[in-house]
Amino acid sequence: MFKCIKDVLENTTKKYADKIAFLETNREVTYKEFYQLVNNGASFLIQEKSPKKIVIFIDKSIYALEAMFMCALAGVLYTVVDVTSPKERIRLILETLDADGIITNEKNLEQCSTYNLPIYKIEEMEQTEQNDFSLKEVADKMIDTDPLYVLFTSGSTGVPKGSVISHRSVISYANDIVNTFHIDETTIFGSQTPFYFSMSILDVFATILSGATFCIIPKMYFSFPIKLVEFLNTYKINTIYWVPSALGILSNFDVFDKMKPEYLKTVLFAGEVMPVKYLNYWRGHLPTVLYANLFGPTEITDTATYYIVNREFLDSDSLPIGISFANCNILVIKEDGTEASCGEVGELCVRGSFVGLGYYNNEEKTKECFVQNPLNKNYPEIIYKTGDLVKLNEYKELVYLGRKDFQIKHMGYRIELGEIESNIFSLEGILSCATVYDNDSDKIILFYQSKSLTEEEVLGYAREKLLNYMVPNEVIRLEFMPINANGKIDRVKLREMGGKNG
Amino acid sequence: MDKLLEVLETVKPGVDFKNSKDMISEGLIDSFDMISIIANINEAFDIDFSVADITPENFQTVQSLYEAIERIKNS
Repeated sequence: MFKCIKDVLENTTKKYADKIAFLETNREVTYKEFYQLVNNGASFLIQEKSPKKIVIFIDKSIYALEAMFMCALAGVLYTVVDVTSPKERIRLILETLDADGIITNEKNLEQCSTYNLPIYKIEEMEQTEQNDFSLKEVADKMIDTDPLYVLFTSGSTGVPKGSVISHRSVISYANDIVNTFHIDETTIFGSQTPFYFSMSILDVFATILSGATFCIIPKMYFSFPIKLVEFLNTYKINTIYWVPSALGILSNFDVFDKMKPEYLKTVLFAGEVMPVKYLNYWRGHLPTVLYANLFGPTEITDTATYYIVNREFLDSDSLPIGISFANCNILVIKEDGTEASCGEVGELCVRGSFVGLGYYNNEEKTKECFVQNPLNKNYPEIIYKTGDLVKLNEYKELVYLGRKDFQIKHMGYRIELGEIESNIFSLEGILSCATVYDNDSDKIILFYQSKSLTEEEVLGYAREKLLNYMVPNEVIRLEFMPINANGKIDRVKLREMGGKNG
Repeated sequence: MDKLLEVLETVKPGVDFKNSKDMISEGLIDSFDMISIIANINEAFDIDFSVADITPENFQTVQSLYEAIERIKNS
């Protein structure tokens, strides 16, 4: 059993020293090379007045991976941020985390200079001399429940929520992934998801645990389906874990009619509901591949359940989310705090080592979702309430029914509609605003009331303030906001209006 | 050309496609927009944009996309 991420990386490096660990279009590193760079950088961090919490501001690249593992070895809590985020959001994350510094690369140096924090350049960190004494000193003090990283998701008050995840959670999760999907040194991952998205935990850490190879697919390939398949074939990619919309790009354009991925063996997906139409296209053209639907939130590392596709589905069916991983237990809890029986609807709650440590610097939110197991009155045991409604079907598989609150999934990202609203509301001249999500068209629709602001002005403001995937797909100006009997904005009415419009 | 700009505007309102030198690398069009853009172009110009035509060259600028549409129309 491994104690920390350092042990995992060290062990795999010993076994597969000269194997390629990480690969991007212009660069590749073996395990040995990677481990050396990471040790150099970790030594740098320990010497550098020991920062405790660091923000990694680097595009998806081997550099970003180096930075993550440098922090892991130096006992520094890290968070990876989206370099295209609005400054305002980065500032909020830096504030929430009370960060001690930023790791960046030459390319992003200028962007980081505005935040008034020490900046560590990855190019310099890589070149620092390894200090065995201080590395060992730090490693000896580390334990498996120490936090490894914080991952920020959208929060309803407009302040991002940072899930804190320990070494133990990540090792435990990676272990179950490796065993469940037979990941080993012959696996070549084709990575699609960004490092500030919890899905990337699976590919990165399953790679490190098993001695696999991790290949970064440049984002631009996802716009050009033929090029994407060529890429998969060039790098002999055999395992992917993508959001369904990325898989949909290939099915929508009927690419497999022209060209097929030749090496694919395992196709995993999560992050949003997988349209069975896409899946049927993939299965029709690539029938020997293993397909699995994974499900879970950032707060419990990545996913808690999986369903390996083993029967036929109609395009109009929905896929089950399946059963829990080996070292993870699911409780389906009803409103009254008791366990749901087969067929009854309840909230999906997660028990076990995958469960994160809580939200960083946010006791209130932590207490809401990380709670005592209501079925255990005898000793303290924290479970995570996901807010997702589920039930068991006739095969004893979990089926996802929807969210308890207003949180939505759009293009694989979790979004609290409230965060969009609170941002828009901060614009001068807005009298009232509300966002709804139209499931059928997968659109975020923003309604607002204002005397002076045009739809273009509001949209322009939204682009400035919000992350790309949070920008409303439609903005509609209303004379009056519809109000329901309780005096609240009538969201049901708005949803109807949005549906008609879209 | 105006018709094409109109189509792009419908998919991504408020984005300045006209003056872009590289719509992909500048992030004006991402992979998730591609599907709706192609569908809208096919409908507006009554053509069948095949997957082989979805290349970085064709999607560099509005001009190059317009030329690609003309080519497909006349082929």
